[in-house]
Amino acid sequence: MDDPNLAARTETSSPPEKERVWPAGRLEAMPIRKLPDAPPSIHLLGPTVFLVALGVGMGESYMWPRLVLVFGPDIRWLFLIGVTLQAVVMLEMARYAMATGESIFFGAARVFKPIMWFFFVVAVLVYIWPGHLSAGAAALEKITGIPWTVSACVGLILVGVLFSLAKVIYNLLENLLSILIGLLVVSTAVVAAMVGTWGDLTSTVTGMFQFGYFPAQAMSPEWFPIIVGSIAFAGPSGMQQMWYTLHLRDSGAGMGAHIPKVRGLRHAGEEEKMPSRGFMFDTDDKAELAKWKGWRRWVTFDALLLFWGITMLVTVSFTVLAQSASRTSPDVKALIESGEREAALNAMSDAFASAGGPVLGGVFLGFIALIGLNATLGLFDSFSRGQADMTYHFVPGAKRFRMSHLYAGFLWGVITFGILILLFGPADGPGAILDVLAFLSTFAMGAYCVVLLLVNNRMLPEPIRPKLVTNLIIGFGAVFYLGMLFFSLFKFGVVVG
Amino acid sequence: MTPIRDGLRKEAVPGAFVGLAAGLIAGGLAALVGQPLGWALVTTVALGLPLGAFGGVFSLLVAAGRLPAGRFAPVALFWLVAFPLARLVHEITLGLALTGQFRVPADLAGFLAYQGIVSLGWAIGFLWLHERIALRLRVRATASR
Repeated sequence: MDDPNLAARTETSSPPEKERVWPAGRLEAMPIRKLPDAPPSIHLLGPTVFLVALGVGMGESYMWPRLVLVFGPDIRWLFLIGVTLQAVVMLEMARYAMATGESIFFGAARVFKPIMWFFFVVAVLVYIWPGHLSAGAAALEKITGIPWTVSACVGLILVGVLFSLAKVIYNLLENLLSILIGLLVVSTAVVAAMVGTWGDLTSTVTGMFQFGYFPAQAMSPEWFPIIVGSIAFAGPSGMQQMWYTLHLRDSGAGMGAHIPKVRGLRHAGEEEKMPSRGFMFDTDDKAELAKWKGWRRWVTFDALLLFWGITMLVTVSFTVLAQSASRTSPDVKALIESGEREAALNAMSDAFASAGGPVLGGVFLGFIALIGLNATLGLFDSFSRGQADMTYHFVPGAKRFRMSHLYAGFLWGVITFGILILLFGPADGPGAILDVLAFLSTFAMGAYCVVLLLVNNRMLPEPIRPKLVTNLIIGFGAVFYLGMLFFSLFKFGVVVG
Repeated sequence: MTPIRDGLRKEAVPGAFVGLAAGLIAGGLAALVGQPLGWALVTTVALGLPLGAFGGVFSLLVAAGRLPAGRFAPVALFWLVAFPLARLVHEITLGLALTGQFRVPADLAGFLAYQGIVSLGWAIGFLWLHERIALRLRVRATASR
């Protein structure tokens, strides 16, 4: 998004004579400032691109097609629930970020600081491992012959250099990811149009409305944890929704317009001073509330059409492709069921090749590589952004650095660690703690639902707090994620798969 | 070229570009994975040209104020008709080029219905890219003035 709110930010340099503030929690109160005007009409360009880049991954292209082949299309109602829940979570994350210009991590600290530190530690434990690079890089190896560790290491360094040279990192990434996601969506639609059939599509779509369908086999220790993992991975998983609040802020949405943007290392000197807290607008002013409604409309469009729509499109298309592939080559069904991800992806590619010519096999692997690239770009930026934000505001003495320096420190730290692990260690993390990492990733999702309830209902002024229905849905999310996680753990002794 | 024609050409660029790009991607990947050059070219032309033409028409309608910019419903309705037609042209051209025979898909109604549903997905991606390219062109045009 352009920076339409420069005037709004300039206002912060000349605060009113007697400053009004909004006290929230035990941390510094938020000064009242003007809420900028919302974009003039429903506008397409927004930070949802980051959430789509992070969210459309293995869950959509592999895990759900796999479940459909094993249990039939009717199992997809669980996907519908998972993605719809994530769309509501996205809207609620946006509520706090747009109202205050603060990240959800800052909001959590306003409620109780240890909650924020919990997320800081979870992010380090879960997201420093470079395993997420492997599927995309392996697909690239299949197409080009370049060993995947080489392309992964080169890719890591390129990402670091690119982000360090950028003037404003958000603008660079939004432009880049928008093109990549746009191409992914357009190409997916074209390939699905060429390969799929009416029957595949109707069974995939109607399967989404078979609420309650749960075959006995799904309740086994082998499959239940996989289903739980697949629901958690429907759309953005782990902490990806929390990072969205930082992207929303840097895009200048709502009160984020009052916060300076994070710059690349080369341009760190040009960064304006980061305020020590966010801002609030006057919720007693009807004109301000009208602007707020405009912002809510804008983000709702983003959540429903771009996030929900694109996630649905990609997963429906991949499921149609998987059904088509399994019909052409029965071997692919056995391979996909067996759980060998790389073998299954290659088999799906071969099946597409035999169904519609070599072009389709290549297209499929190209998609997997593209999805991997999008996720890696988004993940490295998001991780560094989140950790830098928490460090800057809550580690004593960190404010002597600029936010851009802290960002660069975390970025190059995770890149260096990633290269070392790719060359010498286990890419997904040590085998002994894999279960712990999977547990933490899903636990964080239940935990952020609880945080959202607390932050939006206690830290925001009453006129802009969520309605009862929204609270019930987010409460359901907390019970859903945590309940399934602990049920799987206690009933089968296994965390998510 | 007259100024009016030149103006029309510029307005049609974003939509035409997205449509042609889709054909180029399909054709380019065909060449990359070892398909004969002729096959790749037929795919590029047979898919890219109809999608590009319809995309250009869409951009012109937006520029003329006949369709609102940045809204999803009009784009979805436009492609609900245009996308199945483009795919039909693609299928028929492929048949003509590869077998020399004029053939329409066996279950024409089912084929068109399926393409109509997929067009919703295409419409999201098209609008996404269209908005971004159109915005860049507007910014460039303003800067050059």
